[in-house]
Amino acid sequence: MFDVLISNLPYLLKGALRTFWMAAVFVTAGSIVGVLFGSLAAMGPRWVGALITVYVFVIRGIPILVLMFIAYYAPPALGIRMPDIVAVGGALALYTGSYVTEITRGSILSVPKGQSDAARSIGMRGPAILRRIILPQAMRLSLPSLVNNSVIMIKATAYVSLVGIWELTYAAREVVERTLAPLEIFSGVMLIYFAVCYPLSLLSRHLERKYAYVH
Amino acid sequence: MIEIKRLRKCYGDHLVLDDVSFSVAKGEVLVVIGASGSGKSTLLRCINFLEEFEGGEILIEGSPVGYAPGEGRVRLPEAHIAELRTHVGMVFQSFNLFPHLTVLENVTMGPVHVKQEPKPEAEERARQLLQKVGLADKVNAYPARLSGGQQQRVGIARALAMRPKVMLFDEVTSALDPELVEEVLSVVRQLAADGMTMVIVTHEMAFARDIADRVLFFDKGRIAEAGTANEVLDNPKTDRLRSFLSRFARVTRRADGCNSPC
Repeated sequence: MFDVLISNLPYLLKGALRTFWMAAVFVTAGSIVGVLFGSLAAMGPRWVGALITVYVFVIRGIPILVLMFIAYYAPPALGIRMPDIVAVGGALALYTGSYVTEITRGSILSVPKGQSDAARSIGMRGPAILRRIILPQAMRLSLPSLVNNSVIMIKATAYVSLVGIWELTYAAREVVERTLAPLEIFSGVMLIYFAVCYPLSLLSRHLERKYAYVH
Repeated sequence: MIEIKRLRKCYGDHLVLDDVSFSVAKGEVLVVIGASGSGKSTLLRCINFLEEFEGGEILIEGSPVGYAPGEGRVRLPEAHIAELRTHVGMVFQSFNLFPHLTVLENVTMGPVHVKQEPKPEAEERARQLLQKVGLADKVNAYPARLSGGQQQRVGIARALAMRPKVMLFDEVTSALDPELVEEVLSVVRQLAADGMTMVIVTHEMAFARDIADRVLFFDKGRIAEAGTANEVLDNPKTDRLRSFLSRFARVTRRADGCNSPC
């Protein structure tokens, strides 16, 4: 029964490679933006924080699929030429970024105030306190959530197939059209996503336990 | 060493410190007592400018804390404020050790990253200090692995590593289990014997009596009584202090050795 899956596996794995390559690039980019924005929102000037809050709430109020359609149709309408994958990947990064911003902001603010008191009392100053005291603790607090968020975003890459970008899910639909064996093919696709996402979920759980020290 | 003149601090409408003036001589141990909310901790936090204040001035060895002298209350540059803090050691009620760093890294953080001392020397001295507070075997442990009393002794070593001229102790035994209090107090006694200038906020009356050259009793943000331990603790002049001390004695007796009146 699964012969059809096995014979099409090389093609699907090629799609998978594209999926995970895309996820690596755009989710990482979005996460970097998010860590930066989250730090600014927690520690920066108030007006910067306000702008970042607007970004977070606007993006969060839009389904990712709608955001991708907008990213796909907007550049040509505005006369901007860019590859579809950049536009849609940008949407993916922007979406990732909004969640990572909130994760980062929250974890910075949850480092107890006594930590910066203690750092200041030995003569440390703003940037050094942030770099040596606050961020290392905030990163440990946020790491499990960041990994978790990456898992969610890796799965969200499947949406890009709907705007015609070729990756694992798109490849699967092609194969299904050819073979008329949707159950077998999508079972295989499911296993491929799972094989990558499950270890990451385990990693997240492991990090959570590792850094569960008490303040 | 420390001179405080007409210090005033408010949170909104609430006056926390109201016209507080006193000075601390070099080598003197000043103990501050008073009910919670009487402004004792805020006072300590003003001395190293962890807290801004609205009026008056604080001088440490003649240099102003927080604001330039004269009219206008111009805030001193951050670098200047940070430099001043390196001369004032502070130990906190809740320890505030850096949980992501080992005991040794906690103690060397200031010397290495603020004073730019070479790491080997800073570590050598940190080991000596940790030995002095009885934690020579814990240098590589993380704070979460230590008892409260041990954490607080690391807190003291961390402050001492900066070679401060003054040490501030903010209810350093209030968060400890009763059986751990003495190990911390004995370290503070040792410092007093070494001639360290100290301002100590505490609820440990027996300890206060032992160690204080002078005692201040704070009430509603003001110094209500001041004098030697004997004058203040044994011969209170005001009703407020009498009732504070008696409430204290009662709580201590009832709790049977519990050292915290809260």
